[in-house]
Amino acid sequence: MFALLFMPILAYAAYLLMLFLLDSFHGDGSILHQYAFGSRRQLAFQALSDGRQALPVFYAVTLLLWGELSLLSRFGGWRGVMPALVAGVLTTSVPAALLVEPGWTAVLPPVVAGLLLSLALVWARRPSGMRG
Amino acid sequence: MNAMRCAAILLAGIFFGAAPAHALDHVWVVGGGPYPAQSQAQIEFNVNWVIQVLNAGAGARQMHVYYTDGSSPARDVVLWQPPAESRASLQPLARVFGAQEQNGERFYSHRVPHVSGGTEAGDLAARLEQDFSGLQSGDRALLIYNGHGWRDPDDPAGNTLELWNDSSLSVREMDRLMSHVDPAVPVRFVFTQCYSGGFARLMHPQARDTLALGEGNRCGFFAESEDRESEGCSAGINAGDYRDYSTYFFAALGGRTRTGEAITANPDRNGDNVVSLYEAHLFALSQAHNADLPRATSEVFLERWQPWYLRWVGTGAEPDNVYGRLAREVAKKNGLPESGPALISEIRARRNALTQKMAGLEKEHESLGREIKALQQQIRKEIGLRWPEAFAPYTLNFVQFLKKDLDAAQDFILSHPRYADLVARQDRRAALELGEISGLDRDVTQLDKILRLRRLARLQSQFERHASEEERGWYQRLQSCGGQPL
Repeated sequence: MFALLFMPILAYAAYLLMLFLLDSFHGDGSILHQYAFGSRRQLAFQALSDGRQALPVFYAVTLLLWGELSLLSRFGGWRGVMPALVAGVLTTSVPAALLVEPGWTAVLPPVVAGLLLSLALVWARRPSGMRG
Repeated sequence: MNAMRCAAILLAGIFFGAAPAHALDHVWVVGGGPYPAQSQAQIEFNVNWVIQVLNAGAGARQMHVYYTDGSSPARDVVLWQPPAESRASLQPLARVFGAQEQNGERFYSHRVPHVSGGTEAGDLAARLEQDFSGLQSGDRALLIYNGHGWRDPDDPAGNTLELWNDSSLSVREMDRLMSHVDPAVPVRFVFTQCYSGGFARLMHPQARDTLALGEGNRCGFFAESEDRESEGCSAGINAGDYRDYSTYFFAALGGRTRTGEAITANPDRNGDNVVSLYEAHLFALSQAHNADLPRATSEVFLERWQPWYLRWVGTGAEPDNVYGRLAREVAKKNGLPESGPALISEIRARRNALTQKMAGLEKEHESLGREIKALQQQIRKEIGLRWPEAFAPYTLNFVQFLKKDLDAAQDFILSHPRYADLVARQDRRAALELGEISGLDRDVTQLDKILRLRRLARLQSQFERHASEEERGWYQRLQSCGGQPL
């Protein structure tokens, strides 16, 4: 339950962090530029407004992954971390490449967020006897 | 033969080429400052030049000119020229009492021809409402504002035009006035004041922060964003170097620079032999070396459109569209690599160097200010012991001082051992304000402009890939409105 509630927010934070790293080291450095020389207030408003629209999508992806992992767990050989990671990568990379842009810079941030979500869901779904 | 040919062409134009009989181009030129001391001659020169360009342009247009106090003979414009360093100009006394800049000011009544009225907000709004209500389908409207602007930090639709007698007109009020225009009439506007980007909201219904366009067919061009000062409102206003947005924008439309020379770059980007307002804007973007980051409503629309999932994605991409090409032009013009990681790394390095240099100059500026104050206090103290009347301006005592003791007081100042220091520091400080700091600001802005153009290039490319039919329709409407000639 905890994972379902808070993981989408953490996944979104990871997505933003990836965007920031790619922008800073492989792009124009637009985020840092706006922070340092532009309107920080505008940047903050933009982040809030984007967050409001992005979080429902991240919650939806979390639910989708949860459903996928539940289905996979019915097959003996499809349990565990690796199948979950594969599901996370496919669930995020394909829509990102199709709906955002086909380049790796557009696909990598959602994939990292998807991997994080998958790991969290695997941890949340592990048998109760294994819980620490 | 030639005369007959001309007459034939003219008649053909009248009978076949002309718009419907009632259709007319209307141009509103609104200019000037809120009071004489803020109504700089540069604004007046700009307005007169814009009127010349409009009058020289092809086709007939009805001009409506509104300037400061209208046709009142009162002195409403201030011209600044460096005052002579002589006793006759009172400059020694002015330097010691901190009025050395005002001492170069001269006030006169504006020389803008055929003025329809003043710009006091109430009167101007009433006149604009009346003028706008009279527009009919087939007409075209162009509103040009050259003056000062103010910013509402909480709401761009609250940004204002600073009008005569300290009155103002906000974006929302302008929207209300423009709502009287027949929606079929294209309304183009050019705002060159500080924080002018707030007026981009005029494209939206009730100037709200939405993506949808309003009912009216409106588009515009702005010297700056909603939160930045434009060139001409900064210290450079008195320098007399004409680098503001309107200088480049109207040079493109008129084909000549402010000094009458033919422009060196061709603004007609699409090669149709007509320079549209949008092409004039692109010309200003590529040619201006000033502290402005101009924008068009179509660009502001793209920025407003960008969805969250495209923001900050692929910021190193370099699409080959009009903005991508402009970015490369500006980079080349500034001696930078045209594209790629080398460009970004060079921009970062240069910006750091310029910022450090700017910080050094600002420190020097601040320190000079303190030194000047100390020197003035020292000399003033000694003046006060000899001529106490000099410290009470607007009194009879001061008039007596000017009549009897002015020469002696100025001789005392000129022979004071610290006066030469004071002059040197004041002159250095003025040179920093008007020259070096402004110059650096302009250099930094060129780097920011390249980054902005690259961002617009990516935005346009994303828009072409992702926008809905309705959004494309809105963008097309803005493009075709701004794509019209004068």
